[in-house]
Amino acid sequence: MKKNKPNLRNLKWLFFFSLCIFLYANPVMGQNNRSINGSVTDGNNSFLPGVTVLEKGTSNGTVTDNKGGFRITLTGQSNILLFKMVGYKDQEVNVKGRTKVSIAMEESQKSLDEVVVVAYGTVKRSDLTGSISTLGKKDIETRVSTNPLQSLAGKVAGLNIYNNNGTPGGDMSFNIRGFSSISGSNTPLILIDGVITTNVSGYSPSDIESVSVLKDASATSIYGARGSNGVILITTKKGKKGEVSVTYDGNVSVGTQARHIDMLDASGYMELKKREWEYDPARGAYDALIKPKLHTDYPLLFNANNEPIYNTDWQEATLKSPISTRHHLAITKGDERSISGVFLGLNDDKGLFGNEFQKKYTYRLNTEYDLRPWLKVGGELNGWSVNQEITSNTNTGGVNQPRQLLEMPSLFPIQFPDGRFSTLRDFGYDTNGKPAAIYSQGNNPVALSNNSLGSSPVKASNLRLSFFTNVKLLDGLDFKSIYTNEVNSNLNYAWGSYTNIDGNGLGSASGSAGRTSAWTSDNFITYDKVVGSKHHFTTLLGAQWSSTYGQSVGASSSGYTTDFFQYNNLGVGAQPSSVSSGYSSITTNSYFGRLNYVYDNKYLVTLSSRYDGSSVFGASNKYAVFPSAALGWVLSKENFFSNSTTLSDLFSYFKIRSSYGITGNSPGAYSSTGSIGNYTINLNNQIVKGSGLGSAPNSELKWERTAQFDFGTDIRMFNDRLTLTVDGYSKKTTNLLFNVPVSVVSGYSSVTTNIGSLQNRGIEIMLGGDVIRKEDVSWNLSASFAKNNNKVLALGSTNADVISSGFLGSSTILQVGKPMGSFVGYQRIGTWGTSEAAEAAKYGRVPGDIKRLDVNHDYKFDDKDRVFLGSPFGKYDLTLSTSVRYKNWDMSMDIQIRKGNKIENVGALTVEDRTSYSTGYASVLKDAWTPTNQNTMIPALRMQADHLSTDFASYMDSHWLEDGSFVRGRSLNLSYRMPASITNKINFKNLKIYVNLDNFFLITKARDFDPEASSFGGGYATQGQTFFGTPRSRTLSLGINANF
Amino acid sequence: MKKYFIILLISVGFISCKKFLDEDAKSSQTPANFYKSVNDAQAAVNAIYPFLYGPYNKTGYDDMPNAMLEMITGQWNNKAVYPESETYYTLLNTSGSAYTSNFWTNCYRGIEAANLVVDNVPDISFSDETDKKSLLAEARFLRAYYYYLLVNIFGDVPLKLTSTKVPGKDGLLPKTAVKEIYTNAIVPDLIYAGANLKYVTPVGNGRVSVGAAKTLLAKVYLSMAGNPVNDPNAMALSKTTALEVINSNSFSLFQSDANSTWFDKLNNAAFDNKEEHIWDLNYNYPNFQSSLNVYFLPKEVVFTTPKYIQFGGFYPDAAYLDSFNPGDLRGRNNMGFFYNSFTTNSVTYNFPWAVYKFFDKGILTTAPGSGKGFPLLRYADLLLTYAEAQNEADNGPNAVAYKAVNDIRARAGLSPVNGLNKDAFRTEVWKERYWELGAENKTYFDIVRTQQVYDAKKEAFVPIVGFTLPSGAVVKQGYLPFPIPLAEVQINPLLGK
Repeated sequence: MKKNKPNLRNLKWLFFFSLCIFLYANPVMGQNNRSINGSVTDGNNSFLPGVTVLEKGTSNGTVTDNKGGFRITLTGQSNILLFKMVGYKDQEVNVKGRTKVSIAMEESQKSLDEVVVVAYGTVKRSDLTGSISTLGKKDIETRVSTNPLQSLAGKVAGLNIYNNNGTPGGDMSFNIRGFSSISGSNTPLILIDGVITTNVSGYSPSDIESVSVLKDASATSIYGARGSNGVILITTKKGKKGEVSVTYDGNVSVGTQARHIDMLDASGYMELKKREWEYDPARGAYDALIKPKLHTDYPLLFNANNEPIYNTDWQEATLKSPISTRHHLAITKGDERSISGVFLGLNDDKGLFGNEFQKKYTYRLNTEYDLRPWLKVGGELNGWSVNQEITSNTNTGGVNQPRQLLEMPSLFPIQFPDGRFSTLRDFGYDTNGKPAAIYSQGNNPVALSNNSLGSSPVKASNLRLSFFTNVKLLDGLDFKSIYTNEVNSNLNYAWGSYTNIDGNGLGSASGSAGRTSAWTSDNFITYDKVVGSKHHFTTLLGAQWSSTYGQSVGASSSGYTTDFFQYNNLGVGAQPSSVSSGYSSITTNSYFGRLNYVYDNKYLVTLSSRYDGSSVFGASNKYAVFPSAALGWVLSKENFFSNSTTLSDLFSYFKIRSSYGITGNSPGAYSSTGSIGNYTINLNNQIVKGSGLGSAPNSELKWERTAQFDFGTDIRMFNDRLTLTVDGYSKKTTNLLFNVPVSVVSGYSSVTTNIGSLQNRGIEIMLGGDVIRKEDVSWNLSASFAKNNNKVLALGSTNADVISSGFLGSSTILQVGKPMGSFVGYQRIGTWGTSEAAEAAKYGRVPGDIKRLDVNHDYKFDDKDRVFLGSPFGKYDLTLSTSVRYKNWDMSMDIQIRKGNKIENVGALTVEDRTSYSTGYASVLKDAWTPTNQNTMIPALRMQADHLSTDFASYMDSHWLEDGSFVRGRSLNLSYRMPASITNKINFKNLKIYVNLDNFFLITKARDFDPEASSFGGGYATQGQTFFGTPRSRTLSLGINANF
Repeated sequence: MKKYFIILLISVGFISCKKFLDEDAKSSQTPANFYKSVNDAQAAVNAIYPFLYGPYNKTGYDDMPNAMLEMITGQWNNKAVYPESETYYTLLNTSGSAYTSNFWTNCYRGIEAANLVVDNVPDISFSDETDKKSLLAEARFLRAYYYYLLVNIFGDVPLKLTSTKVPGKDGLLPKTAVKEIYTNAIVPDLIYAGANLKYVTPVGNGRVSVGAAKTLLAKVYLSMAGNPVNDPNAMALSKTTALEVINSNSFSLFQSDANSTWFDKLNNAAFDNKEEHIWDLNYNYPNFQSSLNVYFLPKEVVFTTPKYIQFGGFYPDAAYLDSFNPGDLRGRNNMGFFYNSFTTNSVTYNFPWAVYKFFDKGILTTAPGSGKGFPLLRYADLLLTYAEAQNEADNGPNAVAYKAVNDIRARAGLSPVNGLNKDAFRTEVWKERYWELGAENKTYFDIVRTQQVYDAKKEAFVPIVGFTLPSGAVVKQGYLPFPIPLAEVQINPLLGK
């Protein structure tokens, strides 16, 4: 036993000292202490911060500072420095005998060594076996948009993104490789930094570092029951190593109406009224009976000569040229052991209708610490809040802003001299020639757009906290755990004025609040091992648990005598009309694994599987397995290839790959439990509640199952000047969740059952070429082509057609052998001619009435007379892009082409076939039937009370289908990067200014505001139906991107 | 060690427990946790009523399914611009027509709601057994009413008296003959209802009552006496049952008084569930509004405040109006059953003769909604049912039968009839039914059981087959009963047989 007691004080120091050593244990310094310094620039002579500089073959490295400078002390015998940065090609520089190095990094166009984000990790592009398309910052930067997804439209073959209308913030629907579900979701799974989210619209495009679109089963089956619609992996920008760096990205845009629809002017409108009146000759001559009293009956609208006083172009009167602004600020900093970043965004988008806007604030704060050489922890706190007013979407088909924009006759002034806004009630005659409103509904679009008749503001916010731990267990063996909690809250309000003629004079107000809270825990181990020099194994094993629950509460009331309260005091309404609340919860429990094997960079194998459990299924079907396999062969690495100069000169890279796998899609919560229906009835002036017949339970319910085969090739030619990726796929979805109609004798009309199948087959080609590749000038051309054929294979037990009722009644169909949601209806073959009066009479029609094809000649129109009218899905989508760089100038342009889809223009129903209720297309007077114009599709103009005045109503008719093909100048972008000589002087690292023109031209035969529209949302049954979608704008933006 | 400790810590945090994937629906009840309490039983009975409303809800612009039963009577000119009712007016409707399937769907859904009660409520324990029986009686009455509609509209239909366990299979039943549905379901259900319902009249609760059960049973027997059952004993049963209602003195005909004409009592919400109204489809304003009343407002004018579209769904045909005796207050008499002029806010509106029977004055300010109930069973109908049944059963009218007819004539301003033989009395009763019950979905049922319709131009009852509607369309053999909806026949091939 030692006599000297250890000094406690010393012990403490010793402990602290050991801890420090433990924490800061560095590799032992080498013998070679040669120091090298230098600077790194990009292709434009701007200094490039954040480039990793590595001593090759060691872990010794540093990062360039904000002036692009670095200093590294070599530790080994290597004379090679490796420079790496995402988005640039790796560079090796021999520094033998040098102490100073200046290099320029070359930007990579999807270099083979580029790391691609895949499920639960990253893979070198050259090792990919699946069909994955990636987009980097550069691709996203050339578009000016509010929603990150908008920046992707048309850029990835197979990823279809459509703007449903032109509202601020962009109401979009999107799918990958076509629709694959009838009653389930067709929306791809979206993950932000590896974790599932439903709130991608809350990010700013400037937050995004890269996007990976996973298309085939090999890439997606690891997401199991949620992978069948494809997966989009979004990686956000993070803090960077280096000094404090500040990047500002901002722009200001002005939008103008991109497309004007020609409507009747005031004199045309009066001609219309005359023709309607004279439809029935018994009524006498309009000029003799009605015209002379116009001024007397309507002195506010007609002058003493009985001519219209006003001639209002409602589109001009209502639509504005809104100015929108977007700001994004990124502040990042990093040192050897930590990085942090602050990202702030503000998007203030304004719509063409004066009252519509979306204000979005985004913020992110992320940080990562290397606590130990084997332990890294980090996290991100991010959130957004949205404040918006979008009224034109509400009540599609109702008398809303976009509809009134076209239905309001030019005859009316915006306001009468006393300030009153005109309405459709301000003019009209009945069949006796007595003054009577044209239509008792229909407000003035200007009044609707100044919120004097109501509004529907939405406030939403989202908070997401994510925390990860990364543990290096052994060399190559890593454990990662990510815990994410996301809470989304929204508050929706609406009120309608009691003065609104479309209401019942009671006014209305409503409010609803919802909150969704979700947590996900992802835990996985990866093992990366190279055996020998040629066998490279990467394995992944993991488990995931998640829970989501949503709650909502809402109330509405009516019976207001003032607009003072708007939606702020629902209790004031004399009639509380509804209260509601809801709850729903889904939990999942999953295990997954993946094995990647690469032999000699030549042969590639990927196997993956997920064992997925979900609460939404019946007890007997809680779990399912989703496996996949993929093979790749890099031919260009084979000797026969490299030995042949012909081949190797032509092809710098040649890979073929193929995959097969199973993915799933699940229904909503409580689909299998059945429910008790709730009813309200009235007995003796008292409301009583009833509960009983609801939906039938179905414990057998299980996943939809998609089996997908993909064959692809990646080719690079002429020294990587030409890159080509081609994918062919066949996707078959079975066990479709399908609302099978059952006999109503059972008390139920349908039961959700796993029955039915459909297929998507297609080809995707992405071609890129560097036409010019010089230091000062480069010119790149690329094309992305996708063709998908959607086909229903089986429906229910009987394969009976399923006809969906839309605004026009039965208008789309699910039919075996046809694309989902194909249009179906009666074929309009023209109008009955005067010589056909006898035949017309058999149908109860007279000359001038609509003539339809009576398929079975039974003189009546029913299901048997409906014919196939076309598909809402296009034959192909093609995007042509080009980018030109000349010194500091960059120009890029995207042209989007869609071919062969049909659009159901419901608007034509009201402004062409039903003009007696509103006004009409300018062409109506010329096109409508008259005894001298019998070869026409448009029936004779008539008054509402006349014979068959609503013959078009509730019949889907071929006349409203239009060719939706279009060629759109999607985006034109010109930017100028200040040369280093200037930026250095003003102490900027980088300064770029740009001009962007979005939607710069549009060529189409479709007649509504925009052919890319689905007014009734994203469901399969309402694709391509447009009912006066919110007009889209042509947007000119001016922006600046500065880094200092 | 530390590494593994961290991993252990993380892993333990998320070990899933067995119940993790169990579902707990909090905002909707499931069949597994319902039908447990007396309140559940009451709620389940209430849930049978909603399906009565379907045909009387104006779903589209002027889209009113019950018009289907009126167009065939020849009393009306269709004015609805919505094409569906025009197809019934011109007899071009098909098995795919929406109105037919509206009746079919609502009836079978109502029957299933009743079957759920009949199957599940007996297992619920009640402190008072009579309460339980009354609830079961209510359910069985409603089930009988739905079947009464079905057999009259569609003829032979599937009979299902137990609740569905497997929706895909349990509804695939063959048709049952009308006669069996009457004798095995409708009659026993109504007898049970008449014996066990707590409520004698709807006063104070608006629910089905003993009076309603017996009235409907009397009407059912009357139907059974005719086409297609032709039960020779049914007239006597109808007579006896109807007499029980008369003798209960629970109901009476509305009479005009100083405050109001009897017409305005009939269409005034304040008189719903009272006196003449044995059973109403209940509405109230503003919480449970009817859209039927605005459907009948004349379309040529707008006199409501706020101004709202007046749909004018169908108008009386001139021949129907002319068929009334000149002195009949129900005929060409403004604001009887019809009107052609209306004055409000000192403005007089004139228009073609339109239906006034459902003119709720409240609608002048509440348009388009109204709180007026629709009469499903009316005492005038019961009186005429008795008169007809007694005349047939006893080979000639007795004093009670004469009083029944003459009470109805008297308030219409007509002199009493007397001294009629059996046939003349029958014709007189049928004509009274034709005049009194127009637009109430009653005449159709008379056409079904008698296979005759009053031809106002010929001033005689004629066979329905060959009858020419005001549209000019001629009723062909096989037009009635209405075809079973196409979708049902496609799902259940047994129905095609």
